[in-house]
Amino acid sequence: MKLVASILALAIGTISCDGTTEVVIEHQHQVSGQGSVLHSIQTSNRPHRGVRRYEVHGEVRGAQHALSYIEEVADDGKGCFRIRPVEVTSNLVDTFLYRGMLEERQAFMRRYRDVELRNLELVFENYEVSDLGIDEDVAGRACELLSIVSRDGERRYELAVDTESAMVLRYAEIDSDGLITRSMEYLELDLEADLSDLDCFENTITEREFSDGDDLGYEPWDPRVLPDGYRELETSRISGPLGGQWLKKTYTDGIEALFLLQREAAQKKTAGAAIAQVADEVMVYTEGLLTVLQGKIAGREVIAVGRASADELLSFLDSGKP
Amino acid sequence: MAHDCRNFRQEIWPTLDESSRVEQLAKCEDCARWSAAWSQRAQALRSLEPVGAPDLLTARVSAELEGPASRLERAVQSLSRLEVPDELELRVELEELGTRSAPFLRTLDYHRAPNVLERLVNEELADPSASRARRFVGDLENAGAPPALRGRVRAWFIRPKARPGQGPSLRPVVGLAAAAAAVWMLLPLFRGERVASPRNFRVVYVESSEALSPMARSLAEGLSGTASIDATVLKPVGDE
Repeated sequence: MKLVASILALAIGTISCDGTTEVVIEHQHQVSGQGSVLHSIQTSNRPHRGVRRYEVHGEVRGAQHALSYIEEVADDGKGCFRIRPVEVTSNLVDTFLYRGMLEERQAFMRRYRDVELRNLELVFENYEVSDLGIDEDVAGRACELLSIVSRDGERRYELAVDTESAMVLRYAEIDSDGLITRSMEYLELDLEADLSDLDCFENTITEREFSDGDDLGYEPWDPRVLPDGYRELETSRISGPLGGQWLKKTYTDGIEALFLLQREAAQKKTAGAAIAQVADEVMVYTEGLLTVLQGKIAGREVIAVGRASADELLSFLDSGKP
Repeated sequence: MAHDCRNFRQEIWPTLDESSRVEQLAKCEDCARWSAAWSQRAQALRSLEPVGAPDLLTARVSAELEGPASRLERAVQSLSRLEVPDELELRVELEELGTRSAPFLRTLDYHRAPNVLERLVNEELADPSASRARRFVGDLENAGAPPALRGRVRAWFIRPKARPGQGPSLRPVVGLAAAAAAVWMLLPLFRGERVASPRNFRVVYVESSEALSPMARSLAEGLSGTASIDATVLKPVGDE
């Protein structure tokens, strides 16, 4: 029950404070310093092999869609991994093709798909964490159940955390109507698996940390109006075959991630002054709770992706302009 | 006839050009005779008058072909069936592969026309004359204002100071009103509220992720845990 005790201590501490950010943050520093269980969840990356099921439900163009698939995962915990979709159990147009497409995206899936505690301070600022007081077996391993509820009541997460490894073996995201919007569950897990024959996925996209000394050749945009509860997490530079070099800023509310990619738009000769003065344009695409913006503003190519409303993301983007 | 001569005539002769043939004929008398005989035969054949098919045969063939469909079908069916060349088969397979792999190809980078350009082209097609006028009006030289107009505008902005007896100046009142308006407008900022400001970029709502670049799609798919979860790939729930 170590996990439960730590979480409860953490949760009670947070709830009992007077609500000011400073107190929560100070409390979190103390907890992190003691090696809290949440910190373990945040950093847990145990080598393993397993089989898991992922499901997502959402509205696309006014119709409800459900997608679920089963995947095999092997991860050495040091960056070498392979995720192989083995079965797509939804009514897709072409499940064979879809499996291939998922496999192609495995680096993105591994990094961003699952519920993750990206920043503990923000988790406690924006969510209420509590122990559900239930112990459960997931994939044959003892887990304790946690509930993480957003302070605006819009969504909550139920996590089953392996008491020994601190890995999240099951999670469900539930909206304000009580409907599951996405979930993941390990069906099998082997933490002692032989990974000597692991054939690492070769990621063609490279990402490295951006430092202030790096010369971009332009001044990065720094949006001031972030969606509620979000703060900047990190800045990096990415490059690869999906369209050259980008500066990527990642924001988080503690759990969810929001990205802003930017780069200088290619200079093109225009036929007349009128064309050069045409207003810039941003495309908005929504898919379930996810919004994607892509466009060109003031000579800058920008992409913003996150689980926020279109209006929030447009304000976010707009506030980044110099 | 020597064996090498036969071999030469059957295998090598067709592959030689004119000068090589002449050279070879000079070396071999047998071959030269053979060549001369063939030339004579060919000339003789070319000089013959072509003989047409008898009218009766032509009439019968026409009657067969233009008759009931079954006859025509019989004639077509009597033709020997040709095998599909390997090259054609390969091309069909590639076509099929291309159709199936289109979603994969969509994940690769590609360069599409900028949206602005696409919109301009659409505007041009919809109303060519108005579009052209709009485009070229920016190139026109600015005509200066006539001196009389400039004078009147200047007079409007630079008012003479109020002289004694003309009443109090309104400037302080106007200044105060402007300051009050500014505070009223900035108040939400001090309260930490968002101020809706008009955006100077056009917002276009798209219904398919196809419109997005590969990078935007990859990030979206990474966050949602799906690949192109739009209506082109997924069937709605209950739609079996």
